[in-house]
This record gives sequence, structure tokens and C-alpha cells, in this order.
Amino acid sequence: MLAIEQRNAAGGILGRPIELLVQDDGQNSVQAMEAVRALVDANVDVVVGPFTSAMTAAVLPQMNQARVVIISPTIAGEEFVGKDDYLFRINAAAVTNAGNYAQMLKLRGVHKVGLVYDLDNRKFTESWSKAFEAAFASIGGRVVAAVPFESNREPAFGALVAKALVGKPDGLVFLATPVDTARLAQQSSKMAPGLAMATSEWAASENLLELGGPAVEGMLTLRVYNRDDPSERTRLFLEAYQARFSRAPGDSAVAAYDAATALMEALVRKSSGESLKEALIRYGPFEGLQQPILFDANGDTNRTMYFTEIRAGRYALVK
Amino acid sequence: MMNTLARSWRLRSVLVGLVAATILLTFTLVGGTILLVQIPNLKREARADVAREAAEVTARVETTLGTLESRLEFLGQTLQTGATMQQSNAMLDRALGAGPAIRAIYLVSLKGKVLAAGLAAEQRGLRADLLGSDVSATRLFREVVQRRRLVWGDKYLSALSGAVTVGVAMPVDSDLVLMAEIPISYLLSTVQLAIGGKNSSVWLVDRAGEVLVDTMGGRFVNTVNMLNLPVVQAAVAGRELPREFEMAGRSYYPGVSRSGKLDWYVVAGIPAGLENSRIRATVIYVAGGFVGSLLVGLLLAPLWSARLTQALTRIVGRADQITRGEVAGQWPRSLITEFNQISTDLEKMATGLQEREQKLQAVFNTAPVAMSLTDMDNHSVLIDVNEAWCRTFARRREEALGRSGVELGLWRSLEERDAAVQRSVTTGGMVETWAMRGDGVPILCQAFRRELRLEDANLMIWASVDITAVRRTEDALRDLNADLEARVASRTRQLEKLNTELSGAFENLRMTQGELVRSEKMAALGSLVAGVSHELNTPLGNGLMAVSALADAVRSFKGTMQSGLRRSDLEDFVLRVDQGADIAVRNLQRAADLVVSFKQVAVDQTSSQRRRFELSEVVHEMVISLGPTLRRTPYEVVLDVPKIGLLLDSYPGPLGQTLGNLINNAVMHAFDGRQNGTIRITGYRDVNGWIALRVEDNGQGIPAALLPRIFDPFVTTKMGRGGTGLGLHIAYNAVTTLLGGTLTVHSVQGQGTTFELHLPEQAPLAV
Repeated sequence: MLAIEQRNAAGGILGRPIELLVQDDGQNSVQAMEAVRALVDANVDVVVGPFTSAMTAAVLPQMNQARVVIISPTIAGEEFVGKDDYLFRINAAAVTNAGNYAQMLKLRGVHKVGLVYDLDNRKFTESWSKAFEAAFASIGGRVVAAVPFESNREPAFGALVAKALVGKPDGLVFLATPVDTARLAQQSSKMAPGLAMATSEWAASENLLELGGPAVEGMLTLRVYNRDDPSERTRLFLEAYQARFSRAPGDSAVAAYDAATALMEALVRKSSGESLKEALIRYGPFEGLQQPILFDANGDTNRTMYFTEIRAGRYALVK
Repeated sequence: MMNTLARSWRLRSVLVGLVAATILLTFTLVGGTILLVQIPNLKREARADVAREAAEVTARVETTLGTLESRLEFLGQTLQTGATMQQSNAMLDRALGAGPAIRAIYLVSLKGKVLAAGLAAEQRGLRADLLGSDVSATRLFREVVQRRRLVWGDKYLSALSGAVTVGVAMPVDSDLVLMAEIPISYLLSTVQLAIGGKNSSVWLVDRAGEVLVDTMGGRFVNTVNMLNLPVVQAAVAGRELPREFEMAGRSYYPGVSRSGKLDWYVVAGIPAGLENSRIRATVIYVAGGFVGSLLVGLLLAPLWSARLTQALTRIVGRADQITRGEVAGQWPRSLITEFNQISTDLEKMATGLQEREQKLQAVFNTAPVAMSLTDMDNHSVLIDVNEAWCRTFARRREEALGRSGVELGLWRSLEERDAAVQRSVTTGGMVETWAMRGDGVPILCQAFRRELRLEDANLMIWASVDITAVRRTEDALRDLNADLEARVASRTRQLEKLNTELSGAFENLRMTQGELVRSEKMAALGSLVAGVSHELNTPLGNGLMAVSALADAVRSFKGTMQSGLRRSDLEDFVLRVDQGADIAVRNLQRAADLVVSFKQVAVDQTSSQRRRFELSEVVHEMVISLGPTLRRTPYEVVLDVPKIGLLLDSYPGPLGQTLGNLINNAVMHAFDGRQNGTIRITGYRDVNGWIALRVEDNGQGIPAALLPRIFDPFVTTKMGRGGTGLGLHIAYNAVTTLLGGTLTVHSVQGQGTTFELHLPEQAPLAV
């Protein structure tokens, strides 16, 4: 939204203002499909979202049929990688990330990992955990427990953590929403204080800090952007975002910003007769907030991610 | 000559246009005024309404929150320190109540550790999870610790329950904090209820501008951030709200109210401008009224105009009839004064035209000259012919109209016709030509041609006179004339001879006339002398007798003296002497007078001397001299001549003679055989300043047959009996030639005769 508002303020695309239509998928596939149908019926040029793989899976067939480009800033599920479809991704693939996580954890002395993952986003969590397991195993680590749960059912997180602690892992990895991660962390710090924790890039947000409090201290997570980047561009963006929304931007916000930037640039450079899909592929790299965005032929990008650790209630970059 | 005007419109169009224009203008003015006045009012009201509604919603929210606060406070008061966790949990559970308002209440240490938790029954299974959790990082906890009073926290995802929550926290005692989670759905449903009954569209936004609740089915919830709307920014900054704001493509009048507890804003909007139902209604009413009356007007206008034009059309139709020459009935009347005026005026005009037409027609037909009207644009067919034409050319009007002269056989030949027309063109009007009458008789006509160029017709007027007879007569006359000349010549010669003869005779006659005048004069003189003698005789005789008597008386006295005188003898003597002397004196005086008069007359009569004299002189003298003659008659002479004032410079002799003649005439002729009569002699000045003398008698008068010749010579009724027939003639001559005046006579047989003399004061000078 910010990107578009900024662009419109700067004169729009080729002099034409950009109109933003917003629909809520409510993390419900039926609702998601209806939302997308409404947007397609409104003849949108491009859709930014959804923000979860489950929803993306639900709506991708529709988008492919309608031949409308859909850019998801966040999804990383494997099934979406390497497909020649109308889906473009900003995020790095889950597989890649998971591999990196494995390496990082190993570096930090974690050999045994208990995994708690949310089945409500199984497309992501399952592919991630599978990739992690494989990667971890390949470097000598071992996943000693994998505890699934369904977030919507409001499980007792204490029990989940307890289950994950069976097998005595020296690290817990949570594949859950920021809130759920915070709750898991709360239980973990009660039951196993001081145990190393990590959470997928999915949970990296300000909410995690607030809701987790001291419980999430020391948690490792991968972020889409470097919050402490001293560059002018980052600083201006952060200021603008704060001014506009009265809060700091989360990862999905930054990713979305990059997605919007890229597609707007593609729309400008696109010549008539070319589709947006072709333009996105052809005219990259686009200048993102902190890194260039280059789509391969399948609409995937290779994004540089930043490992951070939560220290004193802030995300601190891990070198 | 008709002017070519700019294009004209039908009355209907004009009326319709007028009506439309009037309505347009009226509504523009009235409607515009209404809108100008009303719409700002409505806007103001709307803004007031919307502000009020926003405030109401906020009040409701605050009330709800206030209620929750009270519950929390109450709970805080009733909590006992030192209670066991179980007790605390139970108390907190109870405090939840049965309602949906509070989902969970936590009792938290100052370090942020959850000591006890109160949960709804179905969630109590999670209690174990919650207890011991650390909430120290949450904003709400940090704030309540910092502020040390009840605070509300903006919506967030509850770490303990994962749901979107609104939190409220308050310090309890000195080392505890109560935190309650209010499911946002509860608040939102409260707000939803509050705003559901409102007319405005309402958005509940949190401090970050995210829409929490809206009145449009949640369309804006989680999809739109309103923070950057000028209206929200103004509200946040505490500035005056903009007059309108736009949301999802529509304009609204804003009303923003802030919930202080949660730092949430209730943004209410009533549709602005035409979207606003009341404003729209007003505009629609005005526009509707305008359109309605326009339609009505446009519908009715043709009807009205039809009625108006009906009246006009009838008038026009009537006028048309008149133009075509038809006789039609009444002139139409309608409700409209002006049309009636037109009708009346047209009627007068038509009547006038008809009368003129009739006049002209009458003149045309009465004209004794044959006249015809032909149409030049239509092969010279006859349009009209008058009665004289029909008579002249022995044709009937009906057979002539509509046909040309050639068709009718008016001309003996086409060549003659062409020649005639040609001549008329060159001579410019009058030509003589032969024509054929209807009965085959050729006539010679004198034709006059005149062109008449009218607006829509080219006419030729022919006037023809049948001069056949005239021409024949003329010819005959000419012949006779020639004859006559010869005859006149011979006659003249004869007459000349006669003339000579007559001149001689005339000369003789003049001489004789002169002789006769002279002899008359002598005769007059003679009679005058005779008269004079006669007159003198008497007084002289009387005188002689008187003196003789005296002589006798003396002788007698002498004798007496001898014998002795007695007194009586002396007295006697003296008396006789006295008497005798008296008589003698008188008579001698009379004789002397007579002589004087006669002298005068004689002198005057014979010498014709010119002198100045009063008329009365001559009249008196003449009367005296005729006295004796008159005395013998029973007739009297009355004189009425002023003694002075009628002075003449003329010839008294002839004048007296004339007078004498007139008197004599009267005596001799007027009173012939009568026993009495009066001759009145009057003298006066006439109107021309001349001296007039009237001699009138009441005798037998002069016969009318004689009257004209009365002054001619030798006119007498007494030839041989004392009349010479010259008296009046002489008188006439004397008056007219010598005296330079006039002598007239007037007589009525049986009544009398009046002679009038008019003389100039100065007689003409002798040549």
C-alpha cells in the first residue's frame, strides 16, 4: 500500500494512477477463492498476495486461468518453485531457507532439534521441515521430534512443547505464526528455559517480540530485510512506514513493498504487446529496498535473507 | 410591396418557447434560490448529524469500556493478597462472568509473570499454559507499570490466546497487575449495534488507521488503512476537519470522534453532495418540479396556442374569403380583445374595400365609354368588361370574359390587331382601328390603352369609343363645309351690296332724326312760349284789373272830394286802394317771377349752358313754369327734392327740358281720361354717388309690349292727338349723351310708371 501510495504521489505509472483493490482471504481457502474471483472480475492487472502458501495454492489455478500475474511477497513453499505459471515469488524458496537454517543451527551447536509445526499452513511447513530435516541430517544433525498442530483449534501449547522436548533436543524449531511462536516460546521458556530456539522466517515480525517478551530472547530467525541497514533508502522507508501506519514494518510488509516496486517498474518498462509476466521476467533486475529483484523464467527469485537473533527485545543481525 | 421579413415562427412555437422560457427562468431563479438557501442548510445539518452520531458511537464505546473498567476495578478491590493461586484462579474465573465481554483475566506480577488466570469454562484447559507466562514485553504491561493506573491497550494478538484482543490493565495493590483481555469481536459487535441504527456510514479505526468495524458489511475491515486520510490526520492532530472526505469513490461529510481510552477514532460520514439523500431529494424535487411544470407547460402550450390560433385562423380564413371575392358571413369573435380588434378592423377594411369595389364597379359600368381589362400575363384574356363595352361590341359579358380579343373575333384580322397595338405603343396611347361587333358589323374605334402594373398582375386597360358614326358625320361635314364656303362667299357679296344701301338709308334716317329733333325742340319751344304767354296773361290781366280798379277808386274819390268827404268815404277809399294795390302787387310780382323763370328756362333751354346748380333749382323752376298747364288739370305734383346737397355741374337746360317732358308725358298719357292722379318727383343721391331723380305717377302705366321701345323715336300712342313720339327720345338722348347719365323706366300696367334719372355730379365735358 505504501509503495503504491508513494508511486501515485510521484505521478503513477506512465502518468496513470494505480488503483488498489483489497480483499481479505481470512486464511480461509473458500474465502480466498472468492476474494480472488472478485479481483479478477474487477479486471485487476496484477494481484499482490496471498501471504501464505495454503491460500496461494487455493487461488493459483484461478489466477493461471485468468492469466493474471500474482506476486506473493512471502510464500516459499516448494511446490511453487520452478513452475512456469503466473505466480511470482519475492521470497527465497523455503527449501533454500530451511537449508540455511540447518547450517546456522549447526554452527550454533545445535545437533538435535525438536520441531513444532502448524498444519494449517502445511504447504509451507511440511516442505520446510522436510528440507530442513534433509539438510540437517546431511550435516550431522537430527530431528528428534516433529510435533504437528493445528493453530485454528487452539491447542494447548504447553502440551505441544512438552511433546517436542521428549527426546531431549538441544534446540527447538517452531514453524508457526508469530503469535503461536510466541506462545510456544512462552511455554518453552517455562519448561525448558534457556533452550535454543529458532523460528522460520514466517514468524519474523514485531508481534513476536511483543508477545514473546523475554521468552523469545535469543530466538534465531531469518528476515527478509536488514532492519539495521544504515542506507538512506532503508531509513526513509522505515520513516515513511512508521509515519503512515504508526508502527514498524514486518517482513511481509517489506517483501510486499519490494513486490510492488518490482511490478510497477515492470509495468513502466513493459512495451505494448508484451504481457506483464513477460515484462517481469525480461526487465529485471528491479531495484528492491535493499537488494535487486531478479525473476527467473519461472518467476522465482533468489533472495538474500538475513539471520537475526532476538536480543533485548530487538532483532539483531547475526553475522 | 411586402417586406421580406426575417423568418417568422408559428404562434404555437412562440407560445411553447415562451412557456418553456418562462418556466426555465422561473425555476432557475426560484429553484436556484431554494437550492442556494436550502442546500447549505442541509449540509450544515448533515455535518451536525454526523458529528453527533460519531459522538454517540464513541460514547457507547466509552460506556462499554467504562463498564468493563468498573468490573475490573471492582475485581481489583475484592482480590485478596495472599490468596492461593487456586483461590485467585477461581475468583478470576468468577469475575469473568458469563458474558462474552472478557475472555480472560490475568493476575500478573510486577515482573510480568502470570500468577493467576481466569478463563471461560471451555478454555480452562489452557490455564496451565498461561500460568507462568511472561508478558513483560507487551506494550500494555509496560504501560500499566509505567503509569501505575488503569490503561487500555490497542488491539493486538494475544500471546496467551492468539486472538485479536483489546487489553485493559490496572495495578492492584502495590505489586500486582490485573490484565483483562476483551475479545475485539465483543467490542466490535457493540460498536456494530451502536452504528447499525445510524444514518451515517461509520468506520471504527484504531490508532494506526486500520479499519475495525464498518457499516458496509465489513468491506473495509482489514483491507483499508485510513490513517493517511486528511480527515483522520486532522482528527489525530486535533485540527479542524476538512469539509468533505472521500472513501471508496464516494464523498462524505465527516464527523470524527475519539475514544480516549483506546485511542480509537469513530469516523462517521454522511453522503455529501448529491449522494446525500436529503440534498438529492431537494434537488430532485426542484428538478422534478421544473421538469414537471415544463412538461405540463409544453403539453398545455400547444393546446392553448391552438385555441388562440383558432380564433386567428378563422379571422385569416375570413380575410382569405374576402380576398377571393367570396361573400361570407360574420366576422369571427373570440375571447381576446386584440383579436376582436383585428376582426373589427378587418371587417371595416373589408367593408371599405367592398364599397370601393362596388363604387369602382359602378363607375366602370356606368362609364359611357367601352372599357375592358385584359391580363397581360395570360395571353391578353379579358378579365372584365363594362356594360358600355357590351353595348359597343354587341357581345355578352359572360362570353367575353376569359377569352382574348382575338378569340372573340374582336379584330377583323390579326395584322390589324398587331398594327393597332404597335401604333399604340409608338403614339403612346390613342389609336384608331377597326373592330368587329358581335353581330358582324365592323366599327371604327378610337382606343386608348393604358398599362397597369400591379403587385401580382400585369393588366391592360382599353377604353374604346365607337366613332363610326362620328367619323361619317365628320366626313359629311367636311364636304358640306367646302360647299358652304362657296355659298358664303356669294352671300357675302350680296350682303355687301345691301350694306351699302342700308348705310345710305341709315344716313338719311339720321338726318331726318336730327331734323325732327330740331323741330321738336322748336315745337317745345313754341309750346313753352305759348305756355309762358298764357301764364303771364293771367297775372298781368289781374294786375291790370286791379290797377284799373284803383284808377276807378281814385276817380270816384276825386268825385267824392268835390262833394264833401266823409270819414267813411276816406276809409272806403283807403280800403279799395289797399286792396287794389295788394292785388296788383301780387300779380305783378307773380308776373315778374314768371318772367324770371321763363328767362331762366329759355336761357337754359336754348343755349345749353353748363353751370353748377342744385337739382332742386331746376325742378322748382320747371314745375313753376308748367304751373299753369298743371293747374288746369285735376292732377297734382308732389315734390320731394332736398334743397341742397345734390349739387350738379351740368346743363340745367336739358335737364329741365327732360323733366318737363316726363311730366308732360305723365299728364298726357298716364292720366289720360282720369279724374285724378299724382306725380311724385323725388330727388336723392344713389348708391353710386350719382344724383338721382325719380318721376313716378300712379297712372295707367305703359303696356309691356311698348316698354322696351319707349325711348325709341316715333314711339307714341297718341299719334295725331298731340304726341310727336319724340319727347322721350329727346329726353333720353339729352340724359345719356349730354348729361352723361341714365334714364330708365319701370311700369306696371294699371298701376303706374316710374322714370328714373341717374346723373353724375359732373356732366361729361363737351368735345
